[in-house]
Formats: sequence, structure tokens, C-alpha cells
Amino acid sequence: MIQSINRLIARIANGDEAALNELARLISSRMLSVARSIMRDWALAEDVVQESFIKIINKAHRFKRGNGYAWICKIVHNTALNTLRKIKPTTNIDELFDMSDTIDVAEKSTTSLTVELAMSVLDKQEKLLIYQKYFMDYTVRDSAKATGIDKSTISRKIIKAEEKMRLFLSESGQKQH
Amino acid sequence: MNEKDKQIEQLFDDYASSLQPNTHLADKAIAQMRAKQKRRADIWGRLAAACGVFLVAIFAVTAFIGINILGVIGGNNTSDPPAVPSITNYSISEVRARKVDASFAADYLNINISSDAKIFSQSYYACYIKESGEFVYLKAVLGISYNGGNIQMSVVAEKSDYAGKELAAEYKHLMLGTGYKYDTDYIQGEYVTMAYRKTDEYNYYVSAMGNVYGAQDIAQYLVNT
Repeated sequence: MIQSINRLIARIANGDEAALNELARLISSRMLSVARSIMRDWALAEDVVQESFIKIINKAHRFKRGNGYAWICKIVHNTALNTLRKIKPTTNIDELFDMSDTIDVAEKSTTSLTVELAMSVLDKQEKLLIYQKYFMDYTVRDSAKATGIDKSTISRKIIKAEEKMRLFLSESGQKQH
Repeated sequence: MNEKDKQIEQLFDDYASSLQPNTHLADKAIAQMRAKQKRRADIWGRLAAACGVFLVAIFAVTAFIGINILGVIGGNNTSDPPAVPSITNYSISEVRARKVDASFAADYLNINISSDAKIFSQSYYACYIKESGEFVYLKAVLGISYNGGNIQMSVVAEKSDYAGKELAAEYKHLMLGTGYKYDTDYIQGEYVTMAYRKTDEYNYYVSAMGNVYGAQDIAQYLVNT
């Protein structure tokens, strides 16, 4: 997926409207999920994604190489945080993340509930780091930049969180059998 | 370290696949992309036209020199490229407003006026072009208490690459020259102060009723961000 997103970004930089449509089809839902993990207000989350698409077309020429998908997630993440700071300057950003906010209750699918359940064994910071690694494709360096925590602490926390999730998944798998 | 646990990765992949695409969220970006391409096409069109004119001028001058071999032709045949049109005109009917708070407005206006003035009511609106979703201007409606009198003030901070037709018509008399301009009229028993200032980033339009000198002072302060 990353390669095709990179190619789409390159085409968007040349003003290719079809590429933008294709990008929206591929990852608009993921972008909305990222925005919703930060914004409590769903309408604002949609505004954030709309603004992020505008930023993508304006910045596409600057994207040279790397992980285009993570680059887009960073745009959404930063746009959401900036929007939130403007609306509520006193918000504690560290306390924001909530996986359960990423999907409408009415739209909840079995898979989203499974992810939510598996992440229920994690604390808020672990949830954020796992979400960044597995959903936003962030590297440890990206997460360190986004959270302000040093890389070794991030690595340790992710390893611990992954162990917790593995244990939970194996236990729940055994129970099902 | 960045290696992913297959089981957890699968979990998130399944979750991502279960999400419904929201392609309409790219509509504004698509509209903006079209507008940008149209502007680009216009610019290239104008440049091509300018090049055509330039070539014709060169040809004409060369022919003239050829005919008048001994003559000294000192004509000025350079043609400057046309100025790139960068101002987008819009009408108020093309704009939609969204209520925003003071912290949002603070990016556009100097709201902390002075210790002598107290804002007793305030509403802020961010206004966007309906079609493209581009931010155009911020409007502040303020009630200000100043030196024992009240001032009702409306301030628009419009991005300098836009020009509202109605605003331009209303403030036309203040838009000549540069710098901060204002005037005060006595209209139907009320002093009405209008002020205008243009910066590289914004066009500021102020309209105030009430305490004349206060309105003039505060208008100047608000737009000097």
C-alpha cells in the first residue's frame, strides 16, 4: 500500500485529480480514524480530514521519499492537534487519545470491537503508541517526535504493550476454543 | 524494533479494512486543485500571449531596422511580462461562516486592546468559500466599553489574496494609497467610524458606532497586529 500511496502523492504533486480521488478512496477512512482519535467532535474531525487533504495537495511536491502513508497520518495528526489547540488552548494533549473515539458506535464492526478489546489491557499511552505503530505506521522516531518521549522509553513501552496484547489475544483465543 | 507483530498487525489491518471510505472529504481539496490548475492555465495563457506579442514586436523592429539600415533605432521594444493575477474576487453570497472562539480570532486580530478598553461582548466567525472550503476572512463583532462610553464594532480580517466585492464597494473611499485610513460620519444620529488597513497578509475593514475617539483608537489598535 505504501508504494502505491507514494506514487499517488507524486501524481498529486503534478495536479492529477484522479490520483487525489484514488487516495481518498484508499485512505480517507484511515485519516478520519486518526482525526477521531484526537477530536471528540466528529464534525470537527471531518473538517480536519478535509483540511488535511488540502495540505496534502499543497505539500505533495515536497514529499520526496519515505513512507507516504505515515507522512499523511502526520499531517492529519498535526492538523487535529492544531485545531484542538485553537478551540481549547488548555487541552492536555497527552490525555487525548482514545481508540473507542475512532469509530461511531452505530458503525462499530466486529473487527473494530476486537481491536478495542485487545487494546483494553493497555494504558492510555501504550494504546497511543500501539495505534501509532500499527495503524499510522509510525517509526519509534516518529512516535518520539510526536509524544516528546525519548526513543528508548518508546521502544520499551511498545514491547511491553505488545506482550500484553499477545497475552490477551492468546488467552481470548484459548477461551474461544 | 520497528518489526511488527504479525497477529497485532493483522488485527489492525482487519480493522482498517472494515472502515467505510469517506471520499467526499477530499471534495474541497479537489475543488482547490481545479482552481489552482485553472489559475495556472490562465497564467500560462497570458505568458504565451505576452511571448506572442514580444515576438511580433521583435519581428516588427527587425523589419524596421532592415528597411532603415542606416537609421539608428532606439525604440523600447521590451515588453514586461504581465502581472500575475493573484486576487480572487468573491461575493458575500459565496461565503459560509462558522462561529469560532477568541483564541482562533487572536491569530488574525490584536484582541487584547488596552487596559482602558473592556470587551463586554464578542462573537467571532471564520468565513470560508462555500465551494472550495478556503478560508477567506475572520469577522469579529465586539461590544467595547471605553472611557465611559460603549462602542459597537465589526472588524473583518480578510486574506490579502481575496477581495470581497461588497467590502470593496463599501470601503472604496479608504482604499486609495497605503497605510491606515479612517473617517467618521454622523449618520442618522450616530457617529459611524470606518477604517481600512492593508498589510501583506490581510485587508482589515472596521466599522464602529459610538464613542468617536475611542472607535478611532481601538480600530487602529485592532488592525495593527
